[in-house]
Amino acid sequence: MTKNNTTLTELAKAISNESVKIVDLTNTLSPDFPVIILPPEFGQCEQFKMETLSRYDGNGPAWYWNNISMNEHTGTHFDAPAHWVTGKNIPNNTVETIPVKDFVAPAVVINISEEAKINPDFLLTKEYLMEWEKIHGKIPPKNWIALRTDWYKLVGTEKYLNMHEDGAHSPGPDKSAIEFLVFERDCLGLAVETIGTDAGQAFDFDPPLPAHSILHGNGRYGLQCLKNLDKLPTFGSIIIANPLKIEQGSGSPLRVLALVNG
Amino acid sequence: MTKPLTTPKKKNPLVKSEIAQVLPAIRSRAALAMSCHASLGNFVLQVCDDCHSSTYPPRDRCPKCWGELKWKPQKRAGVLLADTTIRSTNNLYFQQHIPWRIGTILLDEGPTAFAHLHGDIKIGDEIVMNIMLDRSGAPALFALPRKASLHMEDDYQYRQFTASPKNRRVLISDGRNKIGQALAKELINGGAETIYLGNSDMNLLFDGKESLSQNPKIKIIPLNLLNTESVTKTAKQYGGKIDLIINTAYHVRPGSVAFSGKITELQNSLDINVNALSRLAKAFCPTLSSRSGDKERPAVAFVDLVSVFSLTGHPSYASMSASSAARLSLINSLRTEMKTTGLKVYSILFGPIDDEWHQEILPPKISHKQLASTVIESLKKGQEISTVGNVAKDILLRWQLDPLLAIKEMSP
Amino acid sequence: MRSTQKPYDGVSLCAPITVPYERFSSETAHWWAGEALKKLSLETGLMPNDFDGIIFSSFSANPDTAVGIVQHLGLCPKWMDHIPTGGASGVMAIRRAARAVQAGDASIIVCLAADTNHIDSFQKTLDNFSRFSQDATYPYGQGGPNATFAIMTGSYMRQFNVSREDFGKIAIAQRANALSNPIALMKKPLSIKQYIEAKPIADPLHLFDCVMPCAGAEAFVVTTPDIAEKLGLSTVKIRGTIERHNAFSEDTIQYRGGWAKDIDDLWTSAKCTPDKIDFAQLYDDYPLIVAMQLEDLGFCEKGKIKEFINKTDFTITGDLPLNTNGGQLSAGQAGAAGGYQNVTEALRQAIKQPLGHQIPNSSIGLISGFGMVNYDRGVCTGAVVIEADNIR
Repeated sequence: MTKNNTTLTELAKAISNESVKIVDLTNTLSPDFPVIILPPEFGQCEQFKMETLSRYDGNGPAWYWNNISMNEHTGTHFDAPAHWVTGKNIPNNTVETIPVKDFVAPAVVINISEEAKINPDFLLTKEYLMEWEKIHGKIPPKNWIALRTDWYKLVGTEKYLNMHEDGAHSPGPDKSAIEFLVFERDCLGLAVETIGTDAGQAFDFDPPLPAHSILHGNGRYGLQCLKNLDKLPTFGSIIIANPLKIEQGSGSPLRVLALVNG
Repeated sequence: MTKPLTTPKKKNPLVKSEIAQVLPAIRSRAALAMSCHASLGNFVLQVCDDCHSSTYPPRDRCPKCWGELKWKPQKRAGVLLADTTIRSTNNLYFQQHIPWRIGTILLDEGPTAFAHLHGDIKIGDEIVMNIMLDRSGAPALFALPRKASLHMEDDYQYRQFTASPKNRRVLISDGRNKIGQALAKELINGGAETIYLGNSDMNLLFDGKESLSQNPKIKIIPLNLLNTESVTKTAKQYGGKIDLIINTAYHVRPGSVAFSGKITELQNSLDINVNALSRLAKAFCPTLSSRSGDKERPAVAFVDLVSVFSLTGHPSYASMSASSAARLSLINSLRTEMKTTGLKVYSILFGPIDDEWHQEILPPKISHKQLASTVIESLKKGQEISTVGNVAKDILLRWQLDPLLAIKEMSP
Repeated sequence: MRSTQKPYDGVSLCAPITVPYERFSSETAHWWAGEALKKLSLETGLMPNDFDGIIFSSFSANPDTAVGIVQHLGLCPKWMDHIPTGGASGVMAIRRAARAVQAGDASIIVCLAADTNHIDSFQKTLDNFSRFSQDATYPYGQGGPNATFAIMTGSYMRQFNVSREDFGKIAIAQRANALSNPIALMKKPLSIKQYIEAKPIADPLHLFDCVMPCAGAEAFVVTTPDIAEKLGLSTVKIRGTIERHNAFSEDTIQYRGGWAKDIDDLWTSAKCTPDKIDFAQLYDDYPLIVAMQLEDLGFCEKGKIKEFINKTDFTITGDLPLNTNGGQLSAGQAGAAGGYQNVTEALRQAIKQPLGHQIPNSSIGLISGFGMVNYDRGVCTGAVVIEADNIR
């Protein structure tokens, strides 16, 4: 028995006796789950749709199955670098070409839930992160940066999208935060509970939508519409996020899990 | 003197509902031709090509000279010669409605005809004749007073042929869009009792929600037309309380077939313009049609709004016109299917709307208010096929005269 | 261009047969036809092969017509006709059979009407009645002829100042006549009060203005005087006939029938006048139609019926015995047999073999038929003046 086998055997045992817990970070995919809304002149993200083909009935007496359709960015989903124009020429930028080892990675949880509660448009800045590191320690490289906002608790209410006449209002990073995380901390990607890695009002920023722009322009990833980030420790959890292996896919809905010490 | 409508009594839950009956529906082919005109609200009689006399009942050659007959618009004027009130009948439909008054009308054009009578006309009165579609979808003559009388549309017999929104509970399938909102307003003016506004996303604000929510007659209910589960669930909850459904779902984007326009738009268009209708019909029509015989609160009609370009296609709005053609076909099939149930199916054909998606189209364009008003008017008159605005009226006419030519005339 | 009607020499009407009516019957029209022929064979000794001509009328023999009946009941005629004209078919049968016998095309013709009445017979008949009624009459409330006749009756009453009581007198007289008829379906006397207060059907018609549909069969034989003598049958001869269809189509509402167009010809051919008529068997689907026939056949002027009704006794022993078996209003309407029952009753009274009471003077009689409300009026009319010939 090699050293690697021992680690895995230990892991299996730990999962079995729940000394390592598995936390589900995924929202249920249903026709009610909201999707991002773009200006009407653009193509819209389709909501999840489901048509029952048969359910132990005339159409199929002993079986139950459904036809489903959705956009790659419906529900809890993964953004690949190809999703953004800045990432269009990055090598291995579509879901089926991303190296699979990137799908299992540690996470750092940045908790801005209090600030977001007071101000839905709260922006994470480089300044904030540097103050954060003074308290919690340096952000390690190749980690998912999980932005805990407790926004998942608003799913099912109009406060989740928080759409007003001037657009959506939800928290996110500004340009300085993203540049810091990508260039100075070599993050794997940004994982959020809101509907986009960018803040609701980010289309107005300079440059617009900095999270998508800078992350994907540098071959990093996004995870959106997550839940239960409040169940994760600041350091040490491992996020498993494997998008569907869609040919030339820009992303996909997926099951996102976290392993945490029990 | 017609008695004005009063609020219907609340249904006694211990009394079995009356089942929906339909009238004798068999008609000769010549008579069925009348029903096409009835749908459009025209009054026609057969006129001989050779001797030009008018004839009725519908037949196949002129009884005066055996010339060929053509259906032509004719004067509606006539006089009531004699009448009877039927108090006992072996017809199951009329049994539910007796006493029922019919009479013999002498039309100014010459023929005499049996007709259903409005309560305000008596022997010797001048009348105006309509061809309407009765509850089996077959053509029937209905005589109205020459001068509109007070509360004329509340007449009991007339209400069996129309679908006036007065005192009725209406479902607007897409209550978010401007069409739905305009309709809600017009329905309130038209005396509707309750308006259920379908909302595809209860958690997403929409323009106009505020003021609509404040009106006590309006109830905003969840209804996602792109989700079968949602439509079925809403139908189960509210189907028993709805008398009239108006399908306002509408998707339009500019785009041609070859050079512009996207297949994703077409797919979306099909989902909103066609699948939504299918879901609504499947979920609501069985319930509504079983209630179409209810005495106090019958379910009366399913109304669909569809682009007139469903008939011809449109080079600059290809996806919309294609999905509208499918929509029209579906509604035609539904209309035939509902014939045995007594639930009427109305189609409102409209031309370009004056909104953000038709900015490049030259006038005339219609407003949402015009569209809504036409729906109400058609329901009040019992006219199953109507057009809104000059463009729709023109296209339908051309299409009736020569469908292939009408299609050829569509320029990009 | 009016041609003079050739006389009806060499024609004998005989052997009137009525199969007692039943309100509802599970048998078919074919069975009822066979029952009539059976009774006829017992009366005359004639069997299937003896008849060389047949006229058949029915509303409920579908999908069969005369052809089906002929094969079904084993006949082999050299002359055959199918007359689907309801209340006018008896009179029309006489006219056709008489000429066939005169021309030598046939010598013993049975005229036969039979209808059954299942629970749904009446409705089935109406559903397939005519194009015009399906397109322009039945969708308007009634699903039958009552409303049409109600409209006509109301209009007539206004036009000629006739009251319900006037029509009631006809119904009541016929009911009185029916009381002596052992096979009439209505067996209780009818008072004017009962008539007026009866259940309303369609204004102004009430229950006793309407006939009761039932199952039944009627038949009679048309042959030569020689053959009738050989068979020992009493005979009746024909003095004159008329027939007219779709008359006065320009009348907006029917208030007169086809007889009014040809009535002078009838009296001329028959060498007769109304005052010489001993009895009248007039088709009576509604009292209005009886009234119309009394005027149109010349018993009184058009518009004077009220006066005429009020001064005439229509009972069997009265001034003008009318529908002396009770008519359809009191004996029942067995479908198309309703158009033959006035013929058989006329023949019976003439040869002095009544079902009930005998009319004292029954030498010259008038039979009138009316039928087929194709749309808004009765289209077919006809009439025959008969005279008792040899009573054996």
